[in-house]
Amino acid sequence: MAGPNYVAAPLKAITREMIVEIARRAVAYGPLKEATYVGLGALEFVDFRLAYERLGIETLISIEENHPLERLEFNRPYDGIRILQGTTNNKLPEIEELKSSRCVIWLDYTSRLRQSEQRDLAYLASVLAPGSALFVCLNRVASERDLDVVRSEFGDYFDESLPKTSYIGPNLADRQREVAERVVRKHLATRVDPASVELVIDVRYADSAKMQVLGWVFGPVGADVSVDCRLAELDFTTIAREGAPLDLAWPSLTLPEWNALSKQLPATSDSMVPPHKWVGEEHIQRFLTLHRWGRPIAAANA
Amino acid sequence: MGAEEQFESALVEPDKNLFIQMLTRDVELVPAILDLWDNSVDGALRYVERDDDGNFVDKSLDGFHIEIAVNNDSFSIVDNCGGIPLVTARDYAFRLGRSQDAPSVDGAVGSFGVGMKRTLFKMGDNFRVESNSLHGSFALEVDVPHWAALHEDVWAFPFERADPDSSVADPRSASTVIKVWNPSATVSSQFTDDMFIARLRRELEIRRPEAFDLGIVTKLNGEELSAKHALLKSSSDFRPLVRRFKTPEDVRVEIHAGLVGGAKDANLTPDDDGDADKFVGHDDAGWYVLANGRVLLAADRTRLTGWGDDTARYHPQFRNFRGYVDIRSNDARNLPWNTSKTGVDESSQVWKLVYGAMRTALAEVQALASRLKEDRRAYLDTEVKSTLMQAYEEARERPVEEISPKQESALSYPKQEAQKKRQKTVRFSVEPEKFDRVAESLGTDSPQQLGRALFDYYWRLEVEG
Repeated sequence: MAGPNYVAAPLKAITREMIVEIARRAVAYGPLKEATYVGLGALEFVDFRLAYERLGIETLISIEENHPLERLEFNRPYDGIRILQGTTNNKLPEIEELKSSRCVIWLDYTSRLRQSEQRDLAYLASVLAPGSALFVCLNRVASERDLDVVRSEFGDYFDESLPKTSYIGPNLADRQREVAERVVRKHLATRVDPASVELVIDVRYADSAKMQVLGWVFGPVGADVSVDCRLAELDFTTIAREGAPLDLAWPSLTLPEWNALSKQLPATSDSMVPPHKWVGEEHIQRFLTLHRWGRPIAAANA
Repeated sequence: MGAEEQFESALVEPDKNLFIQMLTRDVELVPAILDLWDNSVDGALRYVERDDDGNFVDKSLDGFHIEIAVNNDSFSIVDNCGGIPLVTARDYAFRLGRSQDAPSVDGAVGSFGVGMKRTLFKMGDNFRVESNSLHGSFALEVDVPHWAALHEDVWAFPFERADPDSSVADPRSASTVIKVWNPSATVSSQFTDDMFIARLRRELEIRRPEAFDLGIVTKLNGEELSAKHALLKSSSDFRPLVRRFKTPEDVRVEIHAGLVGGAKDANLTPDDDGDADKFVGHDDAGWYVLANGRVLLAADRTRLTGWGDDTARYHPQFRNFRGYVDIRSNDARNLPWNTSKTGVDESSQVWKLVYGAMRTALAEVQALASRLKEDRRAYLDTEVKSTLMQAYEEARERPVEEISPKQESALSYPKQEAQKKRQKTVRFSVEPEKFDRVAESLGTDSPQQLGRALFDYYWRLEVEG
């Protein structure tokens, strides 16, 4: 059974779970078995196991540029996974299923939102069928000395009128979300077959590098995607959070402290009582955000 | 202030000179002449035959002809395309702006009702229009500066001759002669410029190919022109993209996008700027956008047609890209063109949808071109052609009208991965003089072949031997 890999990248594993939860809600628009999953499987194909085992998707396509085909084929968990070798810019337009079926797409980039990632978003926004879900994972690190690089990466979407600090440090994630949204909505607006779209997730985390997951669900024109998919019920979605991003970080808690908080569940940040004065409000909040998804390594191994 | 003065309204009386200047200010000569040619074609279209599906029947306008003559001191266009009925001449043809009850012709390009007048004003100080039709005949001649100086309550061009009872035997016996003389120095210099004549010829030949197909003969300075048809490589293994849709305004859009190019391209390096002398000559890569048969954009490779707007910018590797967009509407006012019908109106809702579809098609053909480039690179190493290269070379260039005429078709081509060798690329630069001497010694002028020969030479003598 596929599940979170808490050892290698625990917070990333949680974002995978969140993506599965949201993608599952797209069942409101039809069975997922008939959908197509497109991801960047690399050698591990972790997301493909989730797509097949947890979502029931049977048409699986992985895009991979770097590794030899033979090695990728050896490592794929199911022979049915179709492997396309090349860049997403060149391979996404070759996937006929993007236009002929509903899709769940997860582009697990390691880079920031550069022009090539913008191109992928633009193409997908112009072809994905209603009932599809699109997720991207982006790096969200840029310091002051990276500014010129970030300017060139953003291309036409770099806004010179904004303070430079908008594109560095913690603000970069906001700009990336804003630009990604613009790209998606701009290209959705010029579709002959119109559709609706809703930004459903903006999660920021850091297992090692600081990353950001953004996601959209596409619905029929005029539909309210968040209502159809009941996304407000999922407390990590942007709908439930009224647009606010979700920062995922482990609380600094020992096992006994974790257990002391667990005993008080269900609870809210207002009702939860810290076990002692050294467990601050911030860590209680982090605990409440994460406790459903798993335990920190120390606690999990205990 | 005298008691006898009246102050009931403010004067908004137009001035003829202002009108003439405004109308002609942004008009280029080529589109202006094309306007007149369009009128002639539209005249002939009144007599086109249709098949059971309502489509125009090829060659059903045989016998109609349009002759354009341009020289340093005059311009003329003479046709037998049905003539201008006297009532039309009196009530509509010379009016500035199209009146609500003006008759329309399906598939015609005229819509704003200013084309002919501003073209005549633009080209010279004097013009004469003479026509014999099934419904009357007339002639009028205008000295534009003289007319502009006249103060008239009702603006009019007086007929020199007008006969409501005259009638030609059949449409092909009709005639219209438009002659303009006394051009300005600027216009005169353009009329004698070979480049201008070449451009006029090219625009006429690609503008409304169906006019030629229907049988209308067009001559420019005595030389018969022929339609330049849109072509794309197509076969059962290598299908271009064909997309058709209607906008909410009932505008019909047809998009064909794909590649041209010959087998010789396969022998070129992946980054070359090889000969893409297809369609109408060099530098022809890009989008061609036609509205009711009129060319709004030709070989466009700018952001206007989606290049570089969240797609790759134009680069020589896309030199074989061709995209043709045919936009048609029975009501020309819905077409996404600007008022001079020389370009697109980017604010038009119709254009937004057309643009979106073009941009998506462009991204798909760019992916194909990139794959082809990678396969060629692999071929230089392995000398094994990928199935895509073979399919591309074997596909013939066909007129887009013949490609999937009834159904939409997705871009389709072999997608098997090319055989690749693990290899290293060696790159270096040398002075051109030294290159030329070594190239002469080796008997090749290809940098790739020369570099390879040098490496093989060292390998044989210093490593293997």
